[in-house]
Amino acid sequence: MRNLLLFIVKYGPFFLFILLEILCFTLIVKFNQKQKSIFLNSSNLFVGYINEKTSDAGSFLNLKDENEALRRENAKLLQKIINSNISKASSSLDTIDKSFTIMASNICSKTINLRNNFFTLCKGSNEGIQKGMGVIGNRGVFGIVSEVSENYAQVLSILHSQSRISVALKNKTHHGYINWDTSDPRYVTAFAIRKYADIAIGDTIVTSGYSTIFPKNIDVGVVESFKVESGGETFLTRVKLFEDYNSAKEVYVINSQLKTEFDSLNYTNE
Amino acid sequence: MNRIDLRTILRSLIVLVIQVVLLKRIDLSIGSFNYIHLFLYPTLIMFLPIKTPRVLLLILALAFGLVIDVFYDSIGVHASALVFMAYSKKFVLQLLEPVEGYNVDQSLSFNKMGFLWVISFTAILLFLHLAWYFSVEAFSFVYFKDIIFRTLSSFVASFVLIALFLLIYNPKN
Repeated sequence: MRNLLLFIVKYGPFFLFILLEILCFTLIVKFNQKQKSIFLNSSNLFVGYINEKTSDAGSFLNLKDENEALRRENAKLLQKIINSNISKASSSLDTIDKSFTIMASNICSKTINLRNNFFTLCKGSNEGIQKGMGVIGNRGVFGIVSEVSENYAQVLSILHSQSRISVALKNKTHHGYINWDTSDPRYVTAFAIRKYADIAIGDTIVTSGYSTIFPKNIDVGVVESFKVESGGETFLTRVKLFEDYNSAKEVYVINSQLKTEFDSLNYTNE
Repeated sequence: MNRIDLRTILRSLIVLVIQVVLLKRIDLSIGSFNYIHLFLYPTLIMFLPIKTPRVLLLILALAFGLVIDVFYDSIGVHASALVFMAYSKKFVLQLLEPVEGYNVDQSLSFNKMGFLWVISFTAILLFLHLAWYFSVEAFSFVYFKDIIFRTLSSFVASFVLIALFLLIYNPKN
């Protein structure tokens, strides 16, 4: 107590000085228009600066959610584009309008160097992924869902020796299928394009839409070179893929609403 | 003793009146160069006796400052500067302390302290006062150049004025 008193006595004038200055500044800001506006402006600047910084930090933390939301939005837009293409092509059928739904997903793990490559999505049957759905990326076809668990889905990559995806030449009628020759993950080979087909280097290869897995006109790659299969009736076409499977992290899963109907028809035929 | 206090009060009143009635109206602007303001009232605090307690000094400074402010329509600005000056008075006294120290009852007159001492004492305190005053008036160091200009030009003018005042009104004892 005594020390406190001594302290106050010793530094009393200083505290009084600070106190009086605070009082003066309060009065200044309160009663003088010019200083008031400067004070308010600069405090607004300061507060604004702080707010901006905190919201920057906040938005950084929210990036993941933001990203997720954007990708969902993307999936929706992609779905619209695909479905509008379809409904343009066959405008009489209203039911076809909703024939594909698209869902965004991340890739949890993947291989591209093996002979038979798979990758795993971070979504599974809980999110509505089923066996047989098509998977596409931003720039091309990825593969087909081969196994589904509750939270994950295994996708048979386009870079798998057994994968066969029906493709066509863009804006031309001829079609074939692609298969990976298991060497270079940047290239696949397209088979079964008839040798009288009007093919040229640089032609775009797209999905044919003959299966229900992929919609029509999803980009796959571009014709790099072609030759007639020895003694055959078809071209062997080397196709450079658009998608870089090495760096891709995000994909869209395509669900065909008409798949069950389509498949049931095929089964009865068999 | 009482007589001295009475003289001090009387002198304070005179200074206040001169400041708010006369000096406030004197316009020393040369064209657009309106940086010169005349300050006499800092002498109110400067030349209070050394023995005045610092707390009292600060409170007096606030009171005088507010009186000036009321007339200048700038509540708080002069008071702030005067409080600052009152606070720094002790340090300036320490800075200029003669070898033999101060006599507690000493007044700060030419006779007692010598001409040079009074001049430097006044100059330092006046400069501190003006620098603080114009900083607070601008209220932002964005106007740094402006503050310097005003401080220097007002310092010269006010210093001459205060010197004259001290010569005319020379506190005895």
